[in-house]
Amino acid sequence: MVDRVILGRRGGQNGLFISKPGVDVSSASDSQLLFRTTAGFETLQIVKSGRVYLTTGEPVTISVPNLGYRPKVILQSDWNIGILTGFGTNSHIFHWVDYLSNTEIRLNVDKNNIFDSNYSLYVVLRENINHG
Amino acid sequence: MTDRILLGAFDGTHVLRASRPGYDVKNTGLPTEHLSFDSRWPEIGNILSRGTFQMGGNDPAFNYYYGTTYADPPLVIVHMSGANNDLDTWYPIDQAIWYDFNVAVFVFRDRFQISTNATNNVGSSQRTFRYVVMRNFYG
Repeated sequence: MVDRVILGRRGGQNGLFISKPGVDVSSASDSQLLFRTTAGFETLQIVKSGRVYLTTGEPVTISVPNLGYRPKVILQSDWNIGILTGFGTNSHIFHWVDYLSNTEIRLNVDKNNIFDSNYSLYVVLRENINHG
Repeated sequence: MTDRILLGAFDGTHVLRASRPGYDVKNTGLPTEHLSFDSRWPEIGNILSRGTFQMGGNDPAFNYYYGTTYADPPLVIVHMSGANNDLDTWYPIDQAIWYDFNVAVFVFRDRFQISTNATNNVGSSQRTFRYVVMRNFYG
């Protein structure tokens, strides 16, 4: 079994380093590390998630923690098994969000001839929508 | 108080493992959603790159090259600003939005591509796109 965790010095850097399964942490390249605390390593973190009843023309406003910026949101229909019951002709569906402030976000959907339960799932990410 | 950090022998191997508040990290049957980290995971969603660009509804497709070719397409998250480049409104973009909304993201092993069409809702004005490329792979 290879060593996969170093808490301390690795090469010229100090930190916590964890390699991917099967890779020796002492010689792993950056892409072979599952986690490291040194500069340049970032992970996508979820601040909040939920399920809301959302229909066309009836947006829902959610409150999110104040991160000091407008966080990115991923929003999609909850089409779990059996929930999507059918499509009509010229069907469409898309979601979007309106930022009312850093902490108030309005969730929207526009659907046509989509037959489902009208529930949508969202996750709020620790990512600034205004920073590229 | 519930134990939440474990470093050492566990479940037949050695792990570094952390559970979410209120969940016992020693529970071998703990569902993934109740874990913050487990060193046995192959990926944890770390970000390879992020950026922004603008394009209009009549522009040719935009290609962003990762600078390498992965064995499988990576996870790419793209948001597009609202009508007339309204930065208070943002659409998460994926392939399913193509047919009536006329904007789509296609993810390849060496790049992702954004395609737009001015008809229907995108319009011809410039929009801002913001993206994140992550090391989680679809393959």
